[in-house]
Amino acid sequence: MTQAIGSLPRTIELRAPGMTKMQEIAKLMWLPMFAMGLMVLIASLVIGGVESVLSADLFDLGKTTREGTNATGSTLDKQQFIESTRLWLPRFQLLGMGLLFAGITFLLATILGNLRLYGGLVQEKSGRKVLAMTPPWSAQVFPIAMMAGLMVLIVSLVISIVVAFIAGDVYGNPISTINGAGAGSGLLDDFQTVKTFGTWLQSLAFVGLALVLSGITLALYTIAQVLRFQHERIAQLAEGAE
Amino acid sequence: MSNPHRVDLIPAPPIQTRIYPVLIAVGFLIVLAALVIGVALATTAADVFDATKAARDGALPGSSLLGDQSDLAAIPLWVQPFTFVGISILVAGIFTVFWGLLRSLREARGAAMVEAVPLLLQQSANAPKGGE
Amino acid sequence: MTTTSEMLFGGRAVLAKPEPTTMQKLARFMWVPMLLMGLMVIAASVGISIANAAATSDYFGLPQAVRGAADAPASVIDDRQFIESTNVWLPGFQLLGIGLILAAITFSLANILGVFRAGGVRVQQAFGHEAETLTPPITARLFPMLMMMGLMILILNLVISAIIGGLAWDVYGHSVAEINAATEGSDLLGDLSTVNTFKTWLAPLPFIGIATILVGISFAVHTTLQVIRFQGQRMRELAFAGAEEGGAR
Repeated sequence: MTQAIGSLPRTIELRAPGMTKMQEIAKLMWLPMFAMGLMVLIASLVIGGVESVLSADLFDLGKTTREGTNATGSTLDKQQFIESTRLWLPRFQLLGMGLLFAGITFLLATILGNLRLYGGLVQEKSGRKVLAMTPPWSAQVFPIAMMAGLMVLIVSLVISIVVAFIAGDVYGNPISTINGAGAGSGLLDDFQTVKTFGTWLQSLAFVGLALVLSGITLALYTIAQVLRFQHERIAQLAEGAE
Repeated sequence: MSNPHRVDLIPAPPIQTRIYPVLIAVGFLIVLAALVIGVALATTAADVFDATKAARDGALPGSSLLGDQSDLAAIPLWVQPFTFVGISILVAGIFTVFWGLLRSLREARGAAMVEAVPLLLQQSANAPKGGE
Repeated sequence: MTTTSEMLFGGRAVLAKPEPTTMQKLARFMWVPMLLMGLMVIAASVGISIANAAATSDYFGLPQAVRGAADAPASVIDDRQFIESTNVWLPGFQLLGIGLILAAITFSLANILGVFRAGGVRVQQAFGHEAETLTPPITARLFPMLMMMGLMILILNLVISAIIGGLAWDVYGHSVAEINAATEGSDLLGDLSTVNTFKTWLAPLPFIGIATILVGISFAVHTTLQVIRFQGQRMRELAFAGAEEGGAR
């Protein structure tokens, strides 16, 4: 049953101090989420390094050799790898950042759980009613924002990978062939697709990152609300409240 | 003169408070290094684009112009993920200090409140009223 | 007189009113507009990149022979102008949006510090004791400055990018054939060189701004950690002092 008490916001009486189910899950999730993010970013550094080495190799050949119709198989393979990686690697990096920030969000949820637990223990040990604050709107919204953000980042990565396969097909041809593709040809259509998708996918990924960061902002706001409640509750206990 | 801190009443600061400054410093230095590399590469870009398109396209293998073009193409491909690693180390620093905050919340504040508040309430209840 | 230790780690001061500082009161409300501004910038950048994608689709849907011709249609040149100039400033704009959201996080942390300050005084006074608070350690003084410095760097980056974007607009207002035929020492080649030179170091610059804000956030969290430890210490102090008094009586 929720009720407003004195100057406290709406409260609920708990049977025993403890964390909510979501907070118990968050307690287990924060470290693995963060570790995954770090692994993604280290992997992307390694892939970027490989891309860089191949690009240097490619540029050691003159432009005519690199881009001519007689470009060798290994030249085309390097070109394919570079151009297709260029499409999905930035989104992979942003997913890594998103996972790191999601780990922080889970850590903040764990902090909220600990505030609830210790707040309850203080009241229980004092022999008073164990009251908790009715979750504010931000407490419901921040996990949704975090998950929506991660979904958007994953979707943008999946789309990038699909387009990267198309880029692989396109850049499996010498540059001079691509440049000579006629209007209405399949090669020109694929080239157009690769260039077009590459233009807006990064903005989509930034939307995902922005949502995850918004979740963190709302989690911190929730912590401020809970702390305000806790201080007021202890002060009221000192003043003789039940 | 202010009272000294009673650090004997709470556990020592968590180790995370010593680790996070290192992570912050390393992360920031990496991002700064990426900027320095970018500035150095900008001078290479100036050299490359001062040459005409015909000269750039006709640069022979082993020439400095082709080498510069190669640097311009290849170096950003690893510097960009390197910058992200720097940012992620910074975020790891923030994560570490939040971890330390969680530990302090439990070990320093939470445990202290559970012990002290009931005592304080008891003392308030037993305190002599005015005039007694 | 403040000792070095107090300056670095915070000393103690008596407070009469359970109120946050002026900065903390401001932070209580500032996180909302900062967050909304950041989200609006990101939303705007999505709109702009969709427009950019439309121009890209039109441009690269044409064969190279048409795109690169000396007499390329004006619409083709317009498309390329838009694409090349947008690609110069759009990444900086997106990172400014992220920077604004990180600034909202910083303000939220300052708000939490205000709650600890006001709430801590309230609790101590409710128990009938003199209210003591932690004086700002060095991290508390630095984090707002770092946040503002980071935002300044991001804004500076955007301004420079916009100027170079304008220059790119001029350069790519010529046909591909014209640009490729630019001779050594010509204004067109000089401008092309300027655009490509600036693009090279403008790419990592906004990350310095983001990094500075992140350092500020870490200092704000560390300040909160110190305040939490102080609260625990103070509660035990009061409880033990009361126990000693009771024993003496």
